[in-house]
Amino acid sequence: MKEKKKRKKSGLLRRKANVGRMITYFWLLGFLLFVANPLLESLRYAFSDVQISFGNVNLVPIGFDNFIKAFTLDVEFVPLLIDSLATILIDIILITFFSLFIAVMLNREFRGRGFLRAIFFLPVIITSGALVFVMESDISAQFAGASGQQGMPMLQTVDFRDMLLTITDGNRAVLILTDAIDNVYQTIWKSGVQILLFIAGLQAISPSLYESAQIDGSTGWECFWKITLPMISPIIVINLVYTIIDSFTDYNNELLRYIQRTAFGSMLDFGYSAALAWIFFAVISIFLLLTVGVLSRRVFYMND
Amino acid sequence: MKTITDIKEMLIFIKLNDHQKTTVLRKSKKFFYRVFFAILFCGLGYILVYPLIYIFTTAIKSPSDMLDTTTIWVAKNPAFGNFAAVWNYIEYPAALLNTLMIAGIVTILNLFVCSIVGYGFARFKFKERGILFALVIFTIIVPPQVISLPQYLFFLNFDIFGIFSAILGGTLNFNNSIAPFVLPAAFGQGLKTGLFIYIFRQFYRGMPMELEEAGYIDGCGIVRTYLQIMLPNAVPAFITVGLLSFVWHWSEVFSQAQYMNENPTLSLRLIGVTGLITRSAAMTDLSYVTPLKYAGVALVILPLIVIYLIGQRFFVQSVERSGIVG
Repeated sequence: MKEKKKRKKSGLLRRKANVGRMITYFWLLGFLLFVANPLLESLRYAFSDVQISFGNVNLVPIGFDNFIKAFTLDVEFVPLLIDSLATILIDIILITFFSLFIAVMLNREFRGRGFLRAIFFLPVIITSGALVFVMESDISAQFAGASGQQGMPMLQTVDFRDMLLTITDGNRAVLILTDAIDNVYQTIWKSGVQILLFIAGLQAISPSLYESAQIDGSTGWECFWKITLPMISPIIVINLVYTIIDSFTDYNNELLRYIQRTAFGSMLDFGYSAALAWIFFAVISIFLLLTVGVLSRRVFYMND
Repeated sequence: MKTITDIKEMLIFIKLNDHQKTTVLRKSKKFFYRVFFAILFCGLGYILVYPLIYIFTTAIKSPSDMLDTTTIWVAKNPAFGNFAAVWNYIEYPAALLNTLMIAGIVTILNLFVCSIVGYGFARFKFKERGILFALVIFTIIVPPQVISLPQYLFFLNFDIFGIFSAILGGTLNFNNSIAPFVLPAAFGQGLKTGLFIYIFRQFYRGMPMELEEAGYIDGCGIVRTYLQIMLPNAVPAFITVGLLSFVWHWSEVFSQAQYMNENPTLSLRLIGVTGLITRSAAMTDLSYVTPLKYAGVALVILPLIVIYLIGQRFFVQSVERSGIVG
C-alpha cells in the first residue's frame, strides 16, 4: 500500500512536469519564431560588412574585424561603456532603497493614498517612449535635466563639491556622492516602475502574518525586518534586474544612442553597430548574472 | 508671556501619571511622524506633478501668453481652442483607434500568456527549466534596436518554414498592420514580455504551496487550481503587468515607427506633431507651435491617467483575498 501511494505521487509529479514543459515550450516556440531568427541574423551582421541597397541586404563576412575595431580603433565606445557601468552601479543602490522606502510608505492606510499613488505612477507614463521624445528638449532641460543646471539652483552642490574635493584631496568617491545628490530628481523619476512593483508585492503579503506578529507583541520595525523584507525579497531581485536593464536600454543612455547613431546616422554601418550592440549585450549579461547570482541565494520563497 | 505658558505646559506634563505620559508621548510621536510624512510627500509630489502642471498650463496658452514674460503658469488669455486644433492635426480618433488596438490587444495577450508561462516557470519542476528561464531573462536584455532590422525584414516577408508560400503562393507582408505586435505577444514575445513573465513567476513562487495542495487534495485539476486558487491571489501582479504593458505599448515609438507608417498611432503623431502643425498652418513660430504641441501631449496622456485611476483601485481590494490562515 505504501508503494502504491508513492507511485501515485510520482505520477502526479511527472504529470505536473509535463504540463510545465508544455507551457514553457509554447513560449520557446514563440522565441524560436520571433526572436531567435532576428537575433542570429544580427549576430551574422556583427561578423560582416553590411551593405544595404533598395531593401536588399548584402553581407560580406569579415570575421572579428568589427569587434577588434570597437576595442582598438573606436575612441568613443570603451569610455562610454565604462561610464554606463559606473552609473548603473550607483543607480541600482539609490533606486532600490528609494523605491522600497516610498512603497512601504504608500502601503500604509492614510487619507489621500490613492491620489499619492497616482502621482507616483506619473513617471511611468511621462518617461515612456513618445513623451520623452517630445518633451525632452523642454521639460528635461528645465527640470529633470542633467544635474539641474537651470531648474533648481538651491540644490546645486557645486560649491559644496569643491569644498569636499579640496578637503579630501580630489577623492573620486566624493564625486560619486555629489553626483548622486545632483541626480536626485532623476532617481525619483526612474523609480516609477520599481515603486509600482514593490506596492504590488506588498499587497500580496497576507495580512494574517502581520496580525499574528502583532499579537505576539512585535513592533512595526521588527515586522518590517522579519516579515516585509523576506516576503518582498523576490520583488527586490526583479527590481534590480529591471533597474539594470532599464538603465542599459534607456533612451537617454549615451552608449545606446551611439550604437543607434552608428547604424542609422551618418555612418550607416549596420555591421559595426550590431557588433557594438553584442559587446554591450555581453557586458550587461555578465553584470546581470553576477547581481542575480549573488542575490538569489538570499531570496526567501515561502514554499522552498 | 510665551515662556510662562511653556513652563506651565511642562508642569502639566510632569504632573501626569505614567499612563498619561506614555499616551502623550505616543501622540506627539505620531504627530511628528505625520509632519515629516507630509513634508516629504509634498516635496516629492511637487517634483512628480510639475511636468503634468507644465503640460496642462502650457497647453492652454495663447501665443501672446508665451511671449509675455510675466505669465509663468496660468494663461492670461487662455486658448482652449488649442485642444480642438491639435485634435485635427493628429487626427485623434483614427490615431486613438490604432493605438487602442495595439495597446489593448497586446495587453490582454500579455496578461493571458505571460501569466501562464510565469506560472509554468514558478510551479512546475522539470530538468530544463533553468536553461529556459535563462533564455527568458536573455530576451529582456536584448535592446529592441539590436534585432529591429532583421525583425523588420522578417515581417516584410512573413513565412514560417515555407508553409505560407506553399499555401498562398507567396509570403505575407505584415507592414502597416498590427500583426507584428499581436503575433509575438500571442506567443509570449515582444516588448518587455520577458519582464512580465519574470514578474508573474516571482509572484507565483512567493505564494505558499499549501494553497495549491489544498486544491489538488480537493480534487481540482491543474487548470482549475490555477484559475480558482492561484489567479485570484495574483491580482496585484495582473494589475501591475496590465498597466505597464498598456502604458509601454501606448507610447512606444521604435517599432511603431517601423511597422505603422501609413496608419499612424498616437505616439507617432505626437512625435511628428511639430511638423504637422508647421506644415498645415504654415507657422514655425514657437510661441504658436509649443502650446499646440503640449495640447497634443495632454490628449495622449489623459487616457493613460484615467486608466491608471481605474486600475489602481483594484490594488487595494486584492489584499483581503489570500486565504491562508495560521
